[in-house]
Amino acid sequence: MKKKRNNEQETKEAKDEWEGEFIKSKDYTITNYRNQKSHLQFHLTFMSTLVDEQILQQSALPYLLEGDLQTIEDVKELIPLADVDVSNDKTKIEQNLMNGYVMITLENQKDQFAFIGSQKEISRGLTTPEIEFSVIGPKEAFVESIGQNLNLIRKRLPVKELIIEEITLGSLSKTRIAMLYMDGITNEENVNTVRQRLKNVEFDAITDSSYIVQLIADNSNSPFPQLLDSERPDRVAGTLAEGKIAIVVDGSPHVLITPTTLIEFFSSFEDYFLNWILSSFFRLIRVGAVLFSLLITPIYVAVLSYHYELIPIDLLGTLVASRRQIPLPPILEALFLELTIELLREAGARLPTKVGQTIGIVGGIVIGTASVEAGLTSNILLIIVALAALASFTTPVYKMGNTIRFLRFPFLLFAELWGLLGIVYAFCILITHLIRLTSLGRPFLEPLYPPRITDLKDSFIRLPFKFQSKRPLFLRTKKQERYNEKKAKAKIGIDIDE
Amino acid sequence: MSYRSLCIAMVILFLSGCVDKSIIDDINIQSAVAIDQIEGDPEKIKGMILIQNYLPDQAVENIRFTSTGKIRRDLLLNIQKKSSQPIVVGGLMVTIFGDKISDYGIAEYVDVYMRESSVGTRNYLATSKSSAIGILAGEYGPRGNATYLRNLIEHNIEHRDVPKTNLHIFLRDYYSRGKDPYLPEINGVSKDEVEISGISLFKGDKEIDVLPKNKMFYFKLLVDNYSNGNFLVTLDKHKTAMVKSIKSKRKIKISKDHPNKVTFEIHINGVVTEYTGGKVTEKVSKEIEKELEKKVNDECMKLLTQFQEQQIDPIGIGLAYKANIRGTAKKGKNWIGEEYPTLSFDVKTKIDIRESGVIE
Repeated sequence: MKKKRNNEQETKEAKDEWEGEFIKSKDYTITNYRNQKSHLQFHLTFMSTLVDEQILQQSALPYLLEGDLQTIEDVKELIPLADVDVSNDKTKIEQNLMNGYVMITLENQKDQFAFIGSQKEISRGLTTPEIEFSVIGPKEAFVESIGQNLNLIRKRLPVKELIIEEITLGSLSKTRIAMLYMDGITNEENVNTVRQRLKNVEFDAITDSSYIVQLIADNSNSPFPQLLDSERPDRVAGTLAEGKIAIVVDGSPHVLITPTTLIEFFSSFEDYFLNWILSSFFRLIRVGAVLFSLLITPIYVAVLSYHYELIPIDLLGTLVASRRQIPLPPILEALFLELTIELLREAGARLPTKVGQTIGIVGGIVIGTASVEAGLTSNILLIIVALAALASFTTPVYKMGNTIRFLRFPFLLFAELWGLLGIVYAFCILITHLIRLTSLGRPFLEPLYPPRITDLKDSFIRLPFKFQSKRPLFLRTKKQERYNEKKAKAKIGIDIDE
Repeated sequence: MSYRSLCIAMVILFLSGCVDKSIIDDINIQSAVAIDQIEGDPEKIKGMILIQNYLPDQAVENIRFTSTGKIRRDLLLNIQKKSSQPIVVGGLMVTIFGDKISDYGIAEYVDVYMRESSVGTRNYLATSKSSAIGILAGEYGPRGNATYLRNLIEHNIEHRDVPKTNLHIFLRDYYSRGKDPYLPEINGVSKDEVEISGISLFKGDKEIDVLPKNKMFYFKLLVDNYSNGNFLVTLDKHKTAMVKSIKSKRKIKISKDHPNKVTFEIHINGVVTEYTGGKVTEKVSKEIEKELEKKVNDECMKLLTQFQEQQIDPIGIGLAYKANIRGTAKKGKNWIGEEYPTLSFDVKTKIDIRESGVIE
């Protein structure tokens, strides 16, 4: 420590001026210094847990002590930091102190304060995405710091059109939330809607972006996520360019994208890195897997309980033989296995990784084979349930996978009550719900309903980039064209001999 | 709104108790039925229901229940009393009618299938040469009698010379004016052997004749639009050729100017699979084609005149007539009795031999 002199009397005076609450915290610090040239006394007030003392001691204190400090305005000139502000607004004090600013007050100018931004930035290093991992393509993922996350996005869209608007939400958490959009591309109405909804949020502690999803979603009673969350900066940058809006929440490694459609939840960003034929094929497989996962166990229950005549003759023998020894009706058998799988998943998610693997093996192999051998479940159903669980894990967005797994249970119930008719009924309810669902007021089931044929180019299949010259219709962007289609046609090689 | 959703929830929950469940391992699924007439009493029938019991080691056991009754449902009711689990009809694969009962008329026994929604096209109807119960009493193959009989009929329809038939086709033929039904006839050769012995021809719902095996292919050519089958041609004493038809087409042409003349155009693409006379040259293949065309023409003509004499129309000339000539379908008009016998036929066959083997 340099010339740190503690004058108890002065400290007390200064403390009285600010809210008395601060004094209770141990990290509330006030220090007194005297300028060497003008012999003016000044105080530094800060929260020691939030401030990077290195910045303070290297880039602020030496200049304040040795420079010619006469008025508070001089602080701005003396300190070689960008984030220096002078104000006389007392209401700013608490907020700035809590955001890691150091407040400078001069002895002779008690109603004016200077704030120096010297926040301690503690964030973990960039890691590979864990939920949306892709073999091909960038391996960067968002982290918990908003500054770094914004940097990752801005790096990918280095244009002035990318607008970052910031708002602080949460009466206790004071979470910084940034809304990103492309000026001149993104629909104004959408931007206003998001801004308005964010402003209207009333909540005390917002600790993750999932809070925002639930707070601003159109229908909070829907099991479907209406805002897409991604941990991939490339995906966020790509969708921003399409004309969507991104919401970055401080402290959350997941960035929200809105408005979205249902189909988007089944498209992985890796689809854009692969050839269009391959990615279309994989997308179709994923959509098929979701339907399979949703319907196969209910169909098994319905057919075995009600519609034996639907079973192909060659399959009849296998099914009857496998069920002969089972004392449980199909529904209990199916529920037993489905719940076992859910238990395994929950246990696997809660346990430390290394123990989790053991649980997977114990659960999958031991319980599965044991319950078949004990005659509790038929081996055919075991295969079906395991396949359905596997299929539900193919959805690239984790939250959607959860939704699909949850939806199986109402379907099972209806299958048991009414057979195939019940499944059709449940499906009608599901479709009705999806048709009514909106994301930022834009239809969630687009391009299926309302049918938009041009938007099918990037839905179940992904057509090559040369057909992707227009932005999605449902976003109602200000600029429909992504690039000039005519210019893009040139694909002429240079003749080497010439 | 809450009242409405409450109502819906109540309906879904409480009414579901009324739904009749049939859990697959708690029911006996009928897989084959045989119906015979009791000697001397045309009103009473004797029936056998075959249930396939699937054993854990994938083997199939045939379980048979026999009973007598007056109508088909009566039979089932009596059999239910013998079964440990409810017997359901939806998995039916084959129904066999005995010789006596098909002479007497089978419509009232087919009626039950028309009303039962769970019986579909997978149910094949057949007649038997002698007792139908005798056929089901045998043991054929490890996969169960019903599966065996069904596969027997199915593969003969798809790859051999049995014309396409199933419950729907039978019912359509039976109820449409201008076509008579036909069914394959099964004959139990021994305890573990069955064969398709011909085609039963019906007038209305009564069997009046059986087409022998060697005429089945020509019948199929006339009836089906697509047929697959083998036929033998003898050119001279030492030269015999086996020709396999890979594709055939048939057209019924009725000229509006001469409505009494019906022309059949049959076009067959075939492959020579066997020839005892050595190399099949262009000349030989032309010869085979010519010989075959003659044979097909003759055989088909014979069949057509036979049907005309018997006053039956399994080929559906009446349907073709109805489509081409105005007024055929008028009510009260006895087309079969009045106009059908006056028709004259012409069969024009064209055969293309596409391949004669790879041995050069």
